Amino acid sequence: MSILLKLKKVNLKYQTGKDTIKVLNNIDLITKKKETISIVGESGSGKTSLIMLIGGLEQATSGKIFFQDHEITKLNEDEVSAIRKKNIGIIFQSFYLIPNYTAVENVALTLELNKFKNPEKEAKLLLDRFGLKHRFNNLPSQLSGGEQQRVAIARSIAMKPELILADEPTGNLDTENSLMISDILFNYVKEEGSSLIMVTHDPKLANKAKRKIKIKDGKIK
Amino acid sequence: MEKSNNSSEINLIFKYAFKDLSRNYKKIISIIITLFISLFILSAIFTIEDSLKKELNDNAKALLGGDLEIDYNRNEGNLELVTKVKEFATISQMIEFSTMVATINRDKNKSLFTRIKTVDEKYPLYGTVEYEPEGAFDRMQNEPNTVLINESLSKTLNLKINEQIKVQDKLFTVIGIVKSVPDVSGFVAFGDWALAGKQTLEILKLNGIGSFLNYEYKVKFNENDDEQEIEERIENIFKDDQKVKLRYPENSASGLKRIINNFSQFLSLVSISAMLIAGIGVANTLLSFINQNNMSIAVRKAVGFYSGDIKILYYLQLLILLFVVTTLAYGSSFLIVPFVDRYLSDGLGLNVLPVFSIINFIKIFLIGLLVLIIFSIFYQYFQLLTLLRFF
Repeated sequence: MSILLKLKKVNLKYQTGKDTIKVLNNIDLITKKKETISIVGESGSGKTSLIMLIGGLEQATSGKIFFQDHEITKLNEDEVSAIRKKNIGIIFQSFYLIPNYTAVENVALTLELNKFKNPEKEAKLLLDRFGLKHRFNNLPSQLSGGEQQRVAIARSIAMKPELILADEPTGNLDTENSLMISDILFNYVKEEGSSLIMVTHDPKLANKAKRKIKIKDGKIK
Repeated sequence: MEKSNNSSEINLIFKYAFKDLSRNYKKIISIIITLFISLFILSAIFTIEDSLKKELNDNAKALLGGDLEIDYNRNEGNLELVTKVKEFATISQMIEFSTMVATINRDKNKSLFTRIKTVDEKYPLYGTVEYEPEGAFDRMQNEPNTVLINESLSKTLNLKINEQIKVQDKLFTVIGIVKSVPDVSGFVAFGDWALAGKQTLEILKLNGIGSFLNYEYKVKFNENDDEQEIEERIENIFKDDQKVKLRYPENSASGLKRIINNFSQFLSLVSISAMLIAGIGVANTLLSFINQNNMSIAVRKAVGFYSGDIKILYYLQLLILLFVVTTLAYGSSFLIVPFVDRYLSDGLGLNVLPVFSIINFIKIFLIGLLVLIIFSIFYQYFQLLTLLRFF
């Protein structure tokens, strides 16, 4: 399998006044296409920061990150956004749906941004696939946690991205919904051949991934 | 790499700007109210000013009292030259002076410094004098020792019709109340004044020297005459007379216009100051608006919106909001004009109507924009940057 992502000696530091906080320390990582990876570790170990760096939502202090043929650490913000728009889907623990948009509008946002001809129709097909036909025109506040996360997943996979980044996708859900969401995610990556990098505290979910990476104090163990 | 600002993306930004505004109107209601009040006050000032000026310009001849005015100020002037003008135009002579007017036969008589305007039977050449009772104006022309007083003088001295007053030791009878005269530009528009027949000057034995009389000759051209040609002819007649001042309709009401200008400038200053103070409130509301929208900003960034586009989306919403509020404020200001017409212009005999001006609309929009720029855009820019960097 060919390489999808490569991280070379990546560091992430925050400056708070005179103090420097080292979040990620000399991270080296290579992932291949169609690979499923879970990232585990204690709270504050740097898991979410690593996902944000890979997704281009954070900038590394030093080191190199390659996504396919692009060295994203060399690209400007707009160029990284262009790559993310087409190739990377991100799922957050808190769902992050736009509160004033309906389920369909939240999913259509990605499609519209990528100039789909009929984004609302496509969005409806996706939501239907995740059992949300009856929730098309509901606002996020009118949906349960599981339903909101399904809408968020539909939004992240709408462009059939090469890579799905999930930051504790079941963190805010009960056991039943967690199982459903993990099934949806893993079935999707299997069917579509996408890669998945997922941060989780749930050992069962972590074990579903083919590869498990443990982070401690900003370092891969 | 794609270019961020192609037309489809601009369309998308517009679409989302309108959608977000329409869905967030509850969050931004305080911004709308603050901006609306400030811009409404400013719009009302501009609209009233323009409406009044248009009315003054439309009634320039009536305000001047003729097609042309020969003003000799404190001297009677060269009557030979005036007579020459009479050969091809109609002339109405009026002489104004100020004097003490006093009540008589009361326990406590009151006196008031009053401006009196003596007019001949041709007055007014343009417009109408509104007075009561009927026929009082003709009586004033024909009967000696009679005056028409304005409403203000009537109220101040508590004078009734047929009551006698003393003007420079002579007794005069108040035979009517004047509500308005057309030629307010050369005469007093406000304050206490009276109209009297031309015989009054003889009765009071007033002459030019030491009496501070003001001589004016209003000229009305014949209907079919070329106005420019007649004006040139009159200018030629008076070209060697150093004491005369010729006034034209376009310069009429210059005093009134000056008052309106000064007043509107003062009010505009007050209004802009109020807007600047209100701007602090607007800035805080916008800040909370951004904070409430941090979820949307994060989502947009995550799905691949360019940071620049997110900023444009936010500023576009501000501009749309400002445009809508400016339109509402400017439109609403037209509703104020009938009140002005009713209360302010009654005494001037004007009929003020709202006047739309695109320049005023742009001015109001730009002033609103200035407040947003000073208090919001720079301030919010850093907040947006922080949010965009965070996510």
